[in-house]
Amino acid sequence: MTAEKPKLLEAEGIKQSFVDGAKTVEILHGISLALDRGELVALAGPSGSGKSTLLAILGGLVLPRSGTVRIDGVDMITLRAHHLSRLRREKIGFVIQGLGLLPAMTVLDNIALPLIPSGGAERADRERLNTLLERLEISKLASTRIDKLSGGERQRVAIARALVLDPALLLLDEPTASLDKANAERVLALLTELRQSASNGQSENRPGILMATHDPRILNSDAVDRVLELREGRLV
Amino acid sequence: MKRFLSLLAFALASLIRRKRRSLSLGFGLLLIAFLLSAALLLHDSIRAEYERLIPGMAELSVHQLRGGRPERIAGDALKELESHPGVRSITPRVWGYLYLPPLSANLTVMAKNGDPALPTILDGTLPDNEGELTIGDRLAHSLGLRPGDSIALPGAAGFQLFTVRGVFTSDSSLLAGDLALFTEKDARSLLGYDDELYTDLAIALSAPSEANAIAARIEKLLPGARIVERSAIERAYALSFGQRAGFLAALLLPILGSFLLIAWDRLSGSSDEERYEAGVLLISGWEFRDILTFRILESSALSGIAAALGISLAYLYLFIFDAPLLADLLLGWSSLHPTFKLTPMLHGSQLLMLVAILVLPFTAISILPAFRSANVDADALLRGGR
Repeated sequence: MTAEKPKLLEAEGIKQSFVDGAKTVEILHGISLALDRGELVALAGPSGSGKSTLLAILGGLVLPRSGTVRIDGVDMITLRAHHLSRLRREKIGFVIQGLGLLPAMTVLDNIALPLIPSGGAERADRERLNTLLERLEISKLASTRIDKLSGGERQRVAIARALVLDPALLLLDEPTASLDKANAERVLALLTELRQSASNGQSENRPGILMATHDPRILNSDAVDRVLELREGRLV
Repeated sequence: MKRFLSLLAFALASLIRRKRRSLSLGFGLLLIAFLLSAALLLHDSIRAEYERLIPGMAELSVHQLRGGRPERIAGDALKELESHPGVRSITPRVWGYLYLPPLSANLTVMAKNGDPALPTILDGTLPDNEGELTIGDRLAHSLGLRPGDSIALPGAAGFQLFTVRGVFTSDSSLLAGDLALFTEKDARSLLGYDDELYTDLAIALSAPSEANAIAARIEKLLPGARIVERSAIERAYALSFGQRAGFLAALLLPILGSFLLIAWDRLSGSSDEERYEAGVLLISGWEFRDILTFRILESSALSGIAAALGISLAYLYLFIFDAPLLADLLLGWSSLHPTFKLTPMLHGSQLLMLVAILVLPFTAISILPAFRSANVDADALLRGGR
């Protein structure tokens, strides 16, 4: 008998609140969800429903008030800061709503940012960077500064940066919010391709993708496996 | 190590990206580094000059005074002291100054047997005969003289013609700068000294620790004589140059303090951009300690580069361009030396001290702002990031 392989992401009873003057505002009321490798799941909900906060908790950037978050069976909440950082670095790629690019730096430098703490781009990393640039069709922009790029190009740079360490879990916050139809479709096609293929060709290493969005182009797309709807801090 | 080098490279690139801030902070620090380095190097160079001279000086020198003014002294004035067990030798010396109008400076005239520490001969020999002199290389350079050349000097009884017999050098420009050696007879003639009378008596001791006891004995033998101990000369030099350098440092340290306050303000005030950058790095998989290390390296690199440039400029300013303005402040306004060329010197302890004064405080004041900017609220960045 073999032990059941843990899910890529499992969250249980996630609660979060913040203090606004004299009162405490509850944002998340005991959220539980799971995600497997190769899954593309959309987290829908209106602005202020708690999508970004939930993503931050699932990505290990913010601690919840209560609840557990496990990545490949490891409980992130109980990890010491250093170990949590390492887990986040090794397992999770994040694309935030504002993209979080450094405008004075080039495309290549932005994408290579995650490699710096481990000693910079080694030969294998450089090959991987080139592959990513080609895959995301931004090879020709490698030496262009971010502030010279269009919205769609920036979005692809942010995704490339999130993928550079080959994460098991890719979290995206409103990846198509400011894109036109063509660019939004391009991003969706890219994410579909990503969850279908692993960098090393092994299907069990396909990334799981969770994206917060209220873009109907994504929510109605066949590419999305499931849609989780968040309303007033609860999954409905 | 790879991590450190990689973060350092990123810190340097960050300094280049933030040119305006880096230049304004870097320039201020460079200026202070230059001034402090110049003051310290000049002070140390001068101190090294006189420290080279001191071992060659007599432990005691005795001058006869009359009415509080130096008077020539008889060569046998301390004859009965020669048998004292602590006294190794008593050398009567003939020396004095001769004003040279073409140089607007004084020449130190010395009889060749008067100085216990003769310098190294570069070319030719010491004067053997009357009408010959041997001069320091810097004086030879100033006057354009080589062995075999002639020079007329304005002596006590009118101009006298001399042939240059040799050129000597010394580690110290205080010695080689203005000194000319003559036979005793010529030195007496130039200075107008009678036979048997000398400028002073140089006393070498077998045990320098007995200098006080011997000095007390001399006071009894020659009431009213001025007895100068080598240690007193050493103290006078140290005090004279130390006070001047100290005065300059006292002026500069508040400037450094003020600059650090301004730097603190600038480093703390630019936190919006830095917090955003730190948030981006955090989301890109950096750990808190990576961001903190990067920020501290950024400040250290900025202050290190500014300090290195400041120290290098100070070195060039002092030892290549002869320290215009600052030399007047530290050396005084005397034109005793025809040329005064400082001996270049820079050693590890000076560099260590300058780094301690310049780089460490700047790096230290950057730690708290670095800590603040590294400690980002990722949730806020996720909502409102650019």
